[in-house]
Amino acid sequence: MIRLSFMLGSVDVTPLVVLAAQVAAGGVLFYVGRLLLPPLRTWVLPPARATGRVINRPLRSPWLFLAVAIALPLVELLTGGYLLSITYGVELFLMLAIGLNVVVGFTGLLDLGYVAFYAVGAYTYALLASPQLYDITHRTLYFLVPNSGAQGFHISMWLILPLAGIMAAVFGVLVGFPTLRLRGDYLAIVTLGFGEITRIFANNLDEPVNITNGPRGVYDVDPIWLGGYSFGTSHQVLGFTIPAFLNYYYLLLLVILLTIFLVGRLAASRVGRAWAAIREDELAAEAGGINTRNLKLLAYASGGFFGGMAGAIFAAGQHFIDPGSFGFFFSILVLCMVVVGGMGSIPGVILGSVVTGGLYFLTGQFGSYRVLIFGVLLVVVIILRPAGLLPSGRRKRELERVELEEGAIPPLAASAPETPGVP
Amino acid sequence: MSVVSPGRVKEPSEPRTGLLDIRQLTMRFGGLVAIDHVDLAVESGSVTSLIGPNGAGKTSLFNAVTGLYRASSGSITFNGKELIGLKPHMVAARRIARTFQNIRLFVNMTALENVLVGRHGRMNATYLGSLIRTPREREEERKSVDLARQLLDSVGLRTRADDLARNLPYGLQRRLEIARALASEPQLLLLDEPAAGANASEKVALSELILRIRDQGVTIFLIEHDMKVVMGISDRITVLDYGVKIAEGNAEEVRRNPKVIEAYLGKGA
Repeated sequence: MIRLSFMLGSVDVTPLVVLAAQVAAGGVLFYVGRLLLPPLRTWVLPPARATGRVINRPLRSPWLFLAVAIALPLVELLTGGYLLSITYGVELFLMLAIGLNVVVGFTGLLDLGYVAFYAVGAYTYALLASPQLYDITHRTLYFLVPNSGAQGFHISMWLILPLAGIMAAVFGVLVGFPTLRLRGDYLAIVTLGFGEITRIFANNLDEPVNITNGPRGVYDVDPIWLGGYSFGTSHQVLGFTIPAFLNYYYLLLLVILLTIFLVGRLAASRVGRAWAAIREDELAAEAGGINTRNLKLLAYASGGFFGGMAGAIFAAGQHFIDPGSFGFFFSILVLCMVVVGGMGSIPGVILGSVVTGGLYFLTGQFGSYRVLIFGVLLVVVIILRPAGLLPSGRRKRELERVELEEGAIPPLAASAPETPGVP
Repeated sequence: MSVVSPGRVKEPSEPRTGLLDIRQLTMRFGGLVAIDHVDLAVESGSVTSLIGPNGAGKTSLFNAVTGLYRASSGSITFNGKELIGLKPHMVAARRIARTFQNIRLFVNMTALENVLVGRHGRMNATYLGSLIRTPREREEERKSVDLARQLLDSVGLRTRADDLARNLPYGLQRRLEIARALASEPQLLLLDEPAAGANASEKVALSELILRIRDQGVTIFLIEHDMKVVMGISDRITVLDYGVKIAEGNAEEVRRNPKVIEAYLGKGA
């Protein structure tokens, strides 16, 4: 502990020193990075131009993703539980990133409050599958139907899961409506505000009527049941202990696969093209006969739906939720995944979630340095792969073509394209 | 839709009923009057041009027609129905398509995708239909792609269908914008300076393209600075200056009109 003595006493300046050290370290890293990047880039890129394809192709293969996704937790099962829980966490992030990608990547609406949908979904599930609403249901319903709601709501997950998604979708429309005229920075600020409002609501909605139980959170949330199989407890299979969240892992994997399938279809449809047109030039899209208002709301609703589903599964898996899980940094993190991976690209978003999410959990021990590491990661990605790790075919083509056609000014001098300027 | 013979009739001051009828249109931006009580009719099957010096209010008039601006007063009727107050996409649904002075393509989408977006209003696939990919949705998609390719073909972009719009040369971008507008099967096509930046041979080709589109039954409303193009293809020309209509008539009449000469060349010219 470092103390500064004044006449009136002494002050602990350790946090200040740590902060200063962080800033200094950040600066040093940045400059070291800038020095190292050109050689790094020449080392990575010219082969990357060739190997880029070799690397990208298997990474883009859905089968590889599927194989890894199925096998990974089984391998980790042998090594112990810690990595397993990380894998599950990354998976939740992945689901969110895919949802956010619809809003940010497809439609080009910068949403900094995506965590709100996650929260709405989580609270919808938690309130409808826990004793939390016991008081309210007991008081209101008791006289109508004796004993109904005596234990709060415990509605089947088959109803609540979609309901959580729908609630979040409705919330998306509600949030989307007042922001329709906003673009870019302004939209970002307002969505950020909505994200915070949602969390603060959850935090304060224990008065006058206790709905969310405020900062104490909702506990005893029901696990998901499938027939007689509870997802909430560990099971013995062939001598292995299957921990609870492995159940959720595979459930979520199914949901994610379905989501990817659906989102992929949307992207290649009339609706997806209209979203892309709005992203590219809203005015021209509107003049071209696209009802931009409805389609933007549809994008918010779609993004919200997937976020809400993720939230519901999160709540079920945790048995407990509180407003603290839905902070602003969470939104940023999910946005990071989309950007790092490649906006609008589903393989990119998957890779982005794995890299960024993995890093997030693995850097947990570094405390506040975590954010620093993220900053550096973002800078490196933006310099090395401006369109993301696995950009959508469209973005990639665009960047390649720009470099080839215009012999574009390379961002860093040392990495002039090896290919002669083909027209 | 039948091709109505181009109206070369001379009856300037009479209120005529055209496909598009603009009456006493006024647009104010604060104290600035961009368009001042302008009457204008675009007859079905014609090529009608709007010319005038820079800042005369031509593009403002286009924007008022297509719903991007809301007129301060006056009326704009299309097929007898009022357009003022409609949102741009609703105007588009009435079969009015346009291009922009400063090309506004969806630059990170392919040429084909651009045209398909133009077709949006003529397609019926719903959100759920796209998710389930119903046979009807698939059929519609297939037909739309076929039609889009034909359109690209007709404007000379056959081989560039899968190129990103941003990678097309300028002249082709203009043509792509026309193809995108045509994809909505418009009755009326508003072209805002399509020949800007084109060289002489491109201008000739463009004039031919416009006439070909007209011959397919699409009425053309054109803003253009290039007099060769305007005089060559217009059935009727309206001249705006400082938001006021100063002349109207066919090419010859407009060319001789002293007010027009004055507006372009200044007094004493």
